[in-house]
Amino acid sequence: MATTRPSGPPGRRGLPDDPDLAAAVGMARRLTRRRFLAGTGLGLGAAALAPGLLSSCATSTDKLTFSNWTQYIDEDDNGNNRARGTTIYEFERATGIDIEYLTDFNDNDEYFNRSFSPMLGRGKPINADIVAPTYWMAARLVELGWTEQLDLGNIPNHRYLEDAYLGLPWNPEADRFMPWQAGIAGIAYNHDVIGRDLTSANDLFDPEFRGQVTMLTEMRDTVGLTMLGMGFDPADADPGEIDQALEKLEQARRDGQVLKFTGNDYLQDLGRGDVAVAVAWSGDIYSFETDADLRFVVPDEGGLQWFDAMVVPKGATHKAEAEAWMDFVYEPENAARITEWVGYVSPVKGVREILLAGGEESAAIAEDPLVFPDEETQARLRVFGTLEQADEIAIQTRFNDITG
Amino acid sequence: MAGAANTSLKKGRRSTYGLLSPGLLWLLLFFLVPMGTLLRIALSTKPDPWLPVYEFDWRWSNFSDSIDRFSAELFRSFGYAAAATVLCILIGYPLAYYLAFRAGRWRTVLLGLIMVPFFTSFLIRTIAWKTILGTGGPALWVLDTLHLTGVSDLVGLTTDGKFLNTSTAVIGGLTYNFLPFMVLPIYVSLEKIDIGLLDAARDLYDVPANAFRKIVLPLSLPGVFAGTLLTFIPAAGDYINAELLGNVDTSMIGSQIQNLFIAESNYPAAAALSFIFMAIITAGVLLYAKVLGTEELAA
Repeated sequence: MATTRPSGPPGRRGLPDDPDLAAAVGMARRLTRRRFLAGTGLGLGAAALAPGLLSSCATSTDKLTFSNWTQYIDEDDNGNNRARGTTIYEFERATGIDIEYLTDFNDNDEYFNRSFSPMLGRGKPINADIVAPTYWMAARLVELGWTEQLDLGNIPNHRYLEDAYLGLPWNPEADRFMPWQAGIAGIAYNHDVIGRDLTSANDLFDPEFRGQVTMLTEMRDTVGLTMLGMGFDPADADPGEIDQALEKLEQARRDGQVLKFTGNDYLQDLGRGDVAVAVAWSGDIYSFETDADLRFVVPDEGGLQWFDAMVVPKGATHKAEAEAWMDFVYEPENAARITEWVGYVSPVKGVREILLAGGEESAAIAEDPLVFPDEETQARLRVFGTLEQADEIAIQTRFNDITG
Repeated sequence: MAGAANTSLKKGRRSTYGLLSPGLLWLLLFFLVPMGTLLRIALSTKPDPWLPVYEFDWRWSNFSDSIDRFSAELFRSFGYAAAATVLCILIGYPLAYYLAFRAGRWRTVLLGLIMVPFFTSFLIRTIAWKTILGTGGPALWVLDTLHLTGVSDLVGLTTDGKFLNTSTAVIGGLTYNFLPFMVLPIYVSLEKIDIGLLDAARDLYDVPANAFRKIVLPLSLPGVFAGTLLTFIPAAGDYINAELLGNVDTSMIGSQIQNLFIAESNYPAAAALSFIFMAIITAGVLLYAKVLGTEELAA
């Protein structure tokens, strides 16, 4: 590999050595934009007024533009994602296409209300030619007709797409999205605190851990795991079953079982032992540096699979270039370079083989069950089903009341 | 005579308005127009939550629905902000007093020290408190070493022997973050007090406590007034502290507005809730100004 991951886990470069401080800085980076966009009630008022204004303020270029999540592509040791040997560098060299790579995608709902809805909803293009929303948001965009159909003839490497992504109900042909990276929502626990292994989604509701449990504000992950524990399949997304799961969560909150609902900020609490069990993302646990014995498990009843999908928003001016990019990053060699750095589950076939052949450090990643879940684990993973709009709003509203 | 005075006044007015116009234009463009838009959205219906279309239909129920749903968070926000403001006064006043009258040549250094934390991001400082208050952190270590956990639980300082993720931690975080906004205005008003007044009081055989009560305190009240506004208003709107240091039962109104706006795509409800929040704050400030108006005090 041209760029090897820096000594620490991915995404840690440029952070202080002290783990607590590093965690704080990392968390602040993740929190900053989203939290402060909204700010106080007053600040929010101002933001509410001019979503169009805000989005039009974003950089607009005549280059191919990819708006992605932060720390989601390989960089060199100095945190430069355009350095010689990085994927972006190699892409520009191989294709002669200039790419503007932005890391301003912080939150699905925020981006939807800031850009997608005010612009695409009025039939205007947004500034990005590729965005990578999470699967359910990608599905919403596809169903609203706000994405371009990809010309698969321009993307021969589409054949390397893992089979699991073919035949999704919202786009069976998989010709309107290409997954960027994937991951798992399961249970993480601090083994130092608990002193035993957890295996069940219902351990989240074990009275032994009263007040020491956190769950994610990402509704599908938290509700999905609860459903799995109850024997329901989140892939069906049956509103009646979801309702029962919400009931259970509401009760857990009333009982003081759940300490709080969080974004990525559960990691510090978990590492310190203030939280014993958490609904967690595999990539977080993979990359979190701590002295504590943190373990991630896909419960026996199953875990939630999520993925972020590249889509081309309606009216994008560089569709052909976007397709060239997608083709390039689906070349297994290139996908492996990204995987090695970001540590998420790759949607591209053949990445594991390349990493195995790539020397000791790469091979270690290939053996990591969080990055390459074995088949038995894979079989237990479920993707949360698609919700009707009215149901989604009702469920999200009730969920927000529960999360406080 | 009267006529001449009048015209000069009118001329004066015209140039006054001329000078004010950049500011007025700013207010119009970036305050009144957005407020109008916000109010319009607050009284609208959004038939499809995913499309940017609003139907203006005088929907006052947005307001009553928001109050019904979020009254607990409203009370909590103002309660926490009030508690933090009182704590800020209790901590900040003596600090400002010391700085103004006793610090001597250290004054500049100490003032600098109050400002230094502001060179670090608000978020980082708040997140740092998680380490200070959390398990294995210094705060709990002190309690444990002194075997005071039971006592601190009893007085409500900790909950089940924990500082972090309690309402105490939220109020503490608010107090910490907004303390300088209390200290500095009080310091400024104390610093302006003519020491001669205190000398005069002493010459007239007044006891120091009386001199403080009758001279220093009244003269410093404008600073307290300003500090209270600077502390209370942002503290009530803040929710970073509640989110990072609190638990599921400590969320404040800001996070609810954000949820409505971002997660539920319910702009009308978010706008209505923002308005309710602003209205309560405005009413509170007006009332406070009436009770503790600055004009009489300055005179």
